[in-house]
Amino acid sequence: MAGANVVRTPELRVSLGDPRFVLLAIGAVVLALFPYFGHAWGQTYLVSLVAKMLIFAIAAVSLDLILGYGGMVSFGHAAYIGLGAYAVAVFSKYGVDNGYLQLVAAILGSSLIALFIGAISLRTSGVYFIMITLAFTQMLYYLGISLEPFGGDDGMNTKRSDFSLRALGLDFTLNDNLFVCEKRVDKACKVDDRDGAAIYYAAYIALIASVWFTRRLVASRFGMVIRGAMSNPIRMQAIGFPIYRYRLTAFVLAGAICGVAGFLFANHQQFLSPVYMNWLRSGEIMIMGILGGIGTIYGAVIGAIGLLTVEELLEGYVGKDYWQMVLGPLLVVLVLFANRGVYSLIPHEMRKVPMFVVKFALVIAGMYGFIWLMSKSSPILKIAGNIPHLPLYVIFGSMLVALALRFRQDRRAGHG
Amino acid sequence: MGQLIFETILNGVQFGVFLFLISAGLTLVFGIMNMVNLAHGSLFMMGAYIGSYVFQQTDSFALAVVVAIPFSLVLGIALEFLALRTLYARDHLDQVLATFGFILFFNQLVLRVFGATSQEFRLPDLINFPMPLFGFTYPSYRLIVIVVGLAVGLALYLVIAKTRMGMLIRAGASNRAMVGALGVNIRMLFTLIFGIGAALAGLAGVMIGPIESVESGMGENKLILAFVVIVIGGIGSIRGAFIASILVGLVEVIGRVFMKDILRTFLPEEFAQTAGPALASMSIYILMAAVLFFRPQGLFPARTG
Amino acid sequence: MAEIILGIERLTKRFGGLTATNDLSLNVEKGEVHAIIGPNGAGKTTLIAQLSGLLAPDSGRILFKGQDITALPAHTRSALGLARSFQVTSIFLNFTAEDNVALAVQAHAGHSFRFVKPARAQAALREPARQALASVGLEHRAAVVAADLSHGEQRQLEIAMAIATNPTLLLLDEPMAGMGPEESTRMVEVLKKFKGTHTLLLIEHDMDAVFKLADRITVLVYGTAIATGTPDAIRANPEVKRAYLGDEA
Repeated sequence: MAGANVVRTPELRVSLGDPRFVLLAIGAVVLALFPYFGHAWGQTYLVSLVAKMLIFAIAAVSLDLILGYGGMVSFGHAAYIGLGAYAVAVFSKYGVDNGYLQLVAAILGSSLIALFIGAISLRTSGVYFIMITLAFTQMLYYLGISLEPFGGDDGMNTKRSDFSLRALGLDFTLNDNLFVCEKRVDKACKVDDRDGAAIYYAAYIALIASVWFTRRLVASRFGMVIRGAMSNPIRMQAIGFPIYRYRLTAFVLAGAICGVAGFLFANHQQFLSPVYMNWLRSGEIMIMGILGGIGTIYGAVIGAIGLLTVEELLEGYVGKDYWQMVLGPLLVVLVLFANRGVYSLIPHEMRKVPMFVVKFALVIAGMYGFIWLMSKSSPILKIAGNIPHLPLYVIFGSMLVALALRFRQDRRAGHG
Repeated sequence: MGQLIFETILNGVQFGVFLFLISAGLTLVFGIMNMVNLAHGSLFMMGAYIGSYVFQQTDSFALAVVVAIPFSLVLGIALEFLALRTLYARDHLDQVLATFGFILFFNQLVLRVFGATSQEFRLPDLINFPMPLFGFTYPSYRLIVIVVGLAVGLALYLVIAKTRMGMLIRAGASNRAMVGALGVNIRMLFTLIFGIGAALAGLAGVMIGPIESVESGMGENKLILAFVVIVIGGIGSIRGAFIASILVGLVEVIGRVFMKDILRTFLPEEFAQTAGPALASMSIYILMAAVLFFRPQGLFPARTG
Repeated sequence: MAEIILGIERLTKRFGGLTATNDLSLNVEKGEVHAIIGPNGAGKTTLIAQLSGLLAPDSGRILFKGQDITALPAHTRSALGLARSFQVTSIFLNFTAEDNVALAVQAHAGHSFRFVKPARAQAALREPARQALASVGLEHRAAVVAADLSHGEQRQLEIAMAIATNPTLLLLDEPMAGMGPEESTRMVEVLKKFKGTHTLLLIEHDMDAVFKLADRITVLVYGTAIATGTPDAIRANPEVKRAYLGDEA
């Protein structure tokens, strides 16, 4: 199995000849312009939604740093989203709306907690590491629930951060809009001024910065140590690297970046809840990274945006009752057929692009057709003589078929 | 006061054996097949749901238990055979992702089929009465749960320590590759182990159903406790899972009931009031961290290869 | 009097009832190629593990350049100039050959808390790496991912990684492991180039290679050193013959 798990996808080339670069560049431009068009077309809900995707992308990127490059499977990463959010809420509760202070507190708080958790957890490895990071997250979660002054289990509302610099005459909070009509002035304007573009651009800039920083980081000497330690920790020690301190540093950096995501999330939601730190949330962020492709950074961004988009679409089409049920099998199928993530499926040579576009369109069409079928299942139910829960069986059945096919495929390849 | 202490300790033991039923399967699957199975909590939930369904149809608790066990066994075997065995060769991350998908699926399944309200599941008065014990009283049903749990523990111990299959299980937990190389039908052994674990989880579900609420998502908090148990006990070790479950059960229950009072003895009242519940819920994680600090492989690690 | 680079004094290691290293004492002189041979189960790999710091001995001392390193962890010993290669190839499979060696160079180039400049573009790391690759004859495979190298090439990479750090002592654990006759000959040529300029402690089964390379040989049987001497002396030693060939010899 020696060479089996070695990733051989070539690195991204900053040139128009690399489809991945083109795709990412187009994506970056589209995202930059999105609020303008979103507000112009009255789709402010969408702008808010995409802002949320960008925020989770930051969290996923920070996790990819330690998970994809460092091999540290931290199931407690959601804790830092919570800590960043608490920084905003706690300060806000005591009347301090100053965004600069809150941001510094979020970064410092996350870093210190990450230092503490990492110092203890990194002495273990494998599943024990997973469990201990999980345990710490749960501890923080329960701590949050019991903190009555901050809403305990129910959470509490919080105001958006104020980044004004009055001394310089700059009046700016994350509540501001940049494109939208002022509700007070134009009565025809139906927009809720909470869905401002300011929070969107804050998230966008933070995401670009995180991606740039982590990409530099993983290519640097520090990054090489982390990657080597994931590949062969014994050899790293043998050639002279005390890997513990490097891993701890990476862990703290990841925590700090995720704390920024938490700061933004509290601002976005204008609400704080300990549930942000739940282990299932950690699982979700991990899934975003795995879906997009771990060990690539860009994959984390694609995964976060992709997963949240799919969740949103499913909920819209299939209804609140079904969407998780469809998502479940979807994840299973994705694990089996694209387990290096979406990013690795994107071709790295221009000539392979047409084929990729065709396959991608087919998959999307298939998914849409399937989901449409599910949403229209009632006439089918009537025809099928009132078989209750028919869509259920179809979904479960198709998942099993996919798994069985893959099992046979693996068997033939000699893995079974 | 004596009654409270007596009841609390027994409740701790009861919670412990309940956790053992769930953790036994989990530790074997993880220890022998090296698979992280997040869907184990769903097997527990399905046992509870089937039990409550049978109860609602027949008004018989006994029948509910009798049906739930083979149902969980079959469900577990079907799941393993049709779906999960492809994941043995995958790394832990893939297993996490795929079995997480199953959690979502099962949670929504029960919501869809049974609705969102908590399922009705009651105990017959015959087995649910305050029973006099050592000068105190204790609910008879909880005593039954303890007895059943201990019996299962004993039975598992006998099977693992005294039978040939048990020997294969111990060998597999210690060094999986060797057992396969020895020509044992590994696939069947795995399926069997998985099925037994599922049956135990289902048993736990149907037994706990009447005294807790049967609802979607009930598996997840138990799952995380089960993981804590097997990590403390040592992955792959039934003995470790048993001792760790009792330990965790006691710490959890005693903590919940007495933490405030314990803190009161040396902290001012307001601190005890707020810190009490927080510390109580954190207690098992603190326990796990402490155990891992001194014995990073758990209390009774089975793995050598 | 030759300078002693490595001094092993009364080293002992037991695993339950098994004594893997039995009161072992031996010296490695500067500039020599010292080979350790012995039948299977003699405890050779356990010895290397204790020398490189991955295994703690039960008693005894290890002196490196006069300094007691018995309690030092592996990475510190490496920083002091003790490099080892592994019997079972232990390289970074997902990195190219050059990346692998550059990492070894980087380990001895100060701390690595440098976060911004890309490592692959730094000549201070790449140049020594290329030189080390050239010294083992792998320079034409520098850009190949390590997992794609042949077994023999991977063994050569092992040596390159050890050499790249300019070590005072090279511990080589069965460098010929798993090699066919052609590859072995090539490896012997590679190692011959280091004779005199480097000090080598070599654990090996391949007798041909050992007799071609070694200045002195120590024979290890059940954890005990039964003889130490020049190749000719060892060849003639009756105890050695008995250890290898049984009592019929």
